[in-house]
This record gives sequence, structure tokens and C-alpha cells, in this order.
Amino acid sequence: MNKNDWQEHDVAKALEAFQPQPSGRFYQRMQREPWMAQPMTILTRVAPKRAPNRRWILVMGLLATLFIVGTVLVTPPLRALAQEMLELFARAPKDEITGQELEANVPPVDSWQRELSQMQAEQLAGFDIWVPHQLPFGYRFNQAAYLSMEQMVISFYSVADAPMVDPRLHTNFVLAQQPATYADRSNRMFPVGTSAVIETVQLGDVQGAYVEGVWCGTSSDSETLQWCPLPKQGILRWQRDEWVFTLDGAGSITREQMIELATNLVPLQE
Amino acid sequence: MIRALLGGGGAPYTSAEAFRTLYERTHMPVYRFVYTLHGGPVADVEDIAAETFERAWNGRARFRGDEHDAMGWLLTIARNLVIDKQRTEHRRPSPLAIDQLEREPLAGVLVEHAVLQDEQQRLLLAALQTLPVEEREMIVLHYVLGWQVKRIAAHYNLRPNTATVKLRRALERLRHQLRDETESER
Repeated sequence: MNKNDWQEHDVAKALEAFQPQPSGRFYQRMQREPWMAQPMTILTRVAPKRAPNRRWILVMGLLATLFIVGTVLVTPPLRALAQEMLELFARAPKDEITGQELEANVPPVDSWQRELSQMQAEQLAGFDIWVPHQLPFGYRFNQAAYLSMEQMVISFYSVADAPMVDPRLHTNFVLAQQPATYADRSNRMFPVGTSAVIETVQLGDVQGAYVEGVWCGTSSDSETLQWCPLPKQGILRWQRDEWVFTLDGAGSITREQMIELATNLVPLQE
Repeated sequence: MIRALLGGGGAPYTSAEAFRTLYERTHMPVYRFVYTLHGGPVADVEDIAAETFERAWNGRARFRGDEHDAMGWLLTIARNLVIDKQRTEHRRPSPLAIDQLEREPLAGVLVEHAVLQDEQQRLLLAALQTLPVEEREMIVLHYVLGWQVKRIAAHYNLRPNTATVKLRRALERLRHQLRDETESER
């Protein structure tokens, strides 16, 4: 279009295309309002400025870590040794790690199949997926992703209309499901910090592992991340039958909400 | 749905749960309304949008109506806050504020297209700020929020024909302004 030749329909089209969205700052402020039940998490999941793909990578890395943790925890022969195994398996040598080290063991983002419906993800995976019986108030299913190498289906849930991809916004959480037999494919370990506290929680008739904490940036220009044991930045992992599940609250939902969700999963209905 | 949730004919948003539902369903259009009406910068827009809900929360006991009415109520609060803010600052909103728009980079969007769109949006916001607030508001409601003329007419207590005429006049004025702004930048 000639810049000096604005026609009526050009103006209308430009107006219709203008759809700004609030930043994380706005959502964090709103989380503190009296009508919002959930408390706010003060620090961000990823402090350094990162490209969107790297945010995905970081989320994925957290999922992968807890996948391993959860698998070890719930495999019956190892259950007795779970706590020790978890610590041996999942802890980084120290509470610091570089972004490069983290990303080295995470499936490349371009290998994901994203923006799927849950039905599409289920068809790609070839197994029945389980979903929350009831979502926390205000949340809805946003999209699913499928990682073929890991046989993992990931469902993203977010507050209606909120941007989905930025974990700093605390408006989304993630549920992942994977066959337990694929646990050995998860040697791409993404460790939790040395000092991470792994709590055993009861989820109905099975047990799960719950960790609170994230890798935080030490400064805006540093690639070094440190383990931050932030309350409400919880990840829950458990095995039920032949499936391993991961629920990453991403600072959006509480430990109790996560346990409630994990206890009440149902098969996806057509 | 909201009505069913709340029941009764009293003040429908007195509970935190009901108000939260209202917030979840309306915060995006309220934000866009404020952004387009005010013009930025983003921090100011977000403050106004947040204050809109805070004021609504404080006044919720006095509000009567359904979700449809609540949207109009919120936009009225937002509009007044925008006007107050601009009056306090004794300024016309800076068209450069659009440069501060925080956006998620979208994978697969061509850079050239994004640059062109930014330029268009910058001009658009700048031109919008020159219009009287009522014309600006009507344009935002119709084109940015997607309200039908009938709903806009009801919001302003106008006849639909009158609303249509006003809207077309506002769009025409905006178009001329855009031409002028574009010409002045050449």
C-alpha cells in the first residue's frame, strides 16, 4: 500500500489488526487483586531475556527433569529407594548451571508438533491421554504438543485470552503424559538444584514427587542460572499404571490445586 | 452464564468468584480499549486498565445488570480514567508510545511485514489521538473490539442510523488525519 494513500478499508483493516496484549507486569499486578484467589509469585521463571524458543526449551527442560524423577519414584522395585534415587538422578552437581548445559539435553523445539488439539495429539501418540476432570477456575485448554522421540503428549492450559507461551506471566500450567516404558529415553536429564527439596505426596492410591523451585537468572546478561527454591513454582510428577505424568504449575496454580488435578484425571472424551 | 452463576436480581458481582469471572472475560477488551484510546506508553495503559478493575471492584455493590451491561460499565470507567489521565498530564498522547509496545515476537512472521505493521500502527495511534474522545471511542469499539453498530448505538443511547453516521464520519476524519500524518513524515 502506498503510505500516502489510506483508503477507508485500509484504515479499517489496520484498526482490526491492532490487538495489543497486556504484559506480564499487568498480570502480576492483577494476581494481587482481592478477587484473584491465587497469590502471586514474586520472581520470574526465567530472569534473563530469552527468545520465545528458549522459554519453550526451559519449560521443556523442567518437564524432562521431573519426568525422570517421577519415573524413578513410582517404579515399584525402586520405590523404596526413591528418595535416594531421585536425588542421585535429578540433582545437578551444584545450584548453578549454564543455559547451554540445560539446553544440551532438551529435545530441540523444532522437533515438537505444536498447536494441536488434544484429540490430534492423542492420535499422533497412539495412546489414550488423560485430562483434568475439572480445571481450576478461569482456566481452559489452550493447545497440545507431541514429542515423538519421547512419546510425550503435553497439554497447555491457560487463563482465557492470556498469552500462552511466556511462563513469566503465571497464567498457564502444563500437563504432560508419557508411557513409563519410555523412561529410559529420558536420559536427556535436566537436573534440579543440589539443594532442591523433593517431597513425596499422596495422590489417591499412588504417590508422586513434588518439587518447588526454578532455575533463575543471576543477572540480565548472564548465561548462568541458579537454583531458586521458590514457593509456588511447583512441579508434580507421578506414575499411574503404565503412564508417567508431569504437572508443571508454572507459578500459576497452587500445590493443593496440582494435587487435586493429579488425583482426578479422566480419559479424554471424544 | 454469568447470570446463571450469580442468580437473583441484586448486585451480581459482589463475590470475588463472580468478579473474577468478569475480569477473566473482559480484561482483554478493556485493555485494548484503554490502549487504543490512550495511545500509550504501555505502563500507563496497564495502570489504567488495572485501575479500571479496581474501581469496579470497589463499586461492585452498586452495579446492577448482566455481563453485557458490565462491559459497558467497565469501559465507561476506563474512558473516564483515560480522560483524567490525559487531562492531568496536560498533553496529547505521544504517538511514539507505540514504539514501546511490548509484543511477543511471533515465529514465522516476516520481519518486513512486522516493520510495516509497526509503522502503520504507530501512524494509526498517532492519528487516533487527534480525534475527539467520543469519535475515538466509537472507532475503537467498532473496529478494535468488534462491536456491532447496534450495540454501539445502545451504549451511547443513539439510534442505529445516527451511530452509523457518526462512525463513518469518525472513520473519514481518521483517514484524512492519517493522510496528513503520512504526508508530514515524508
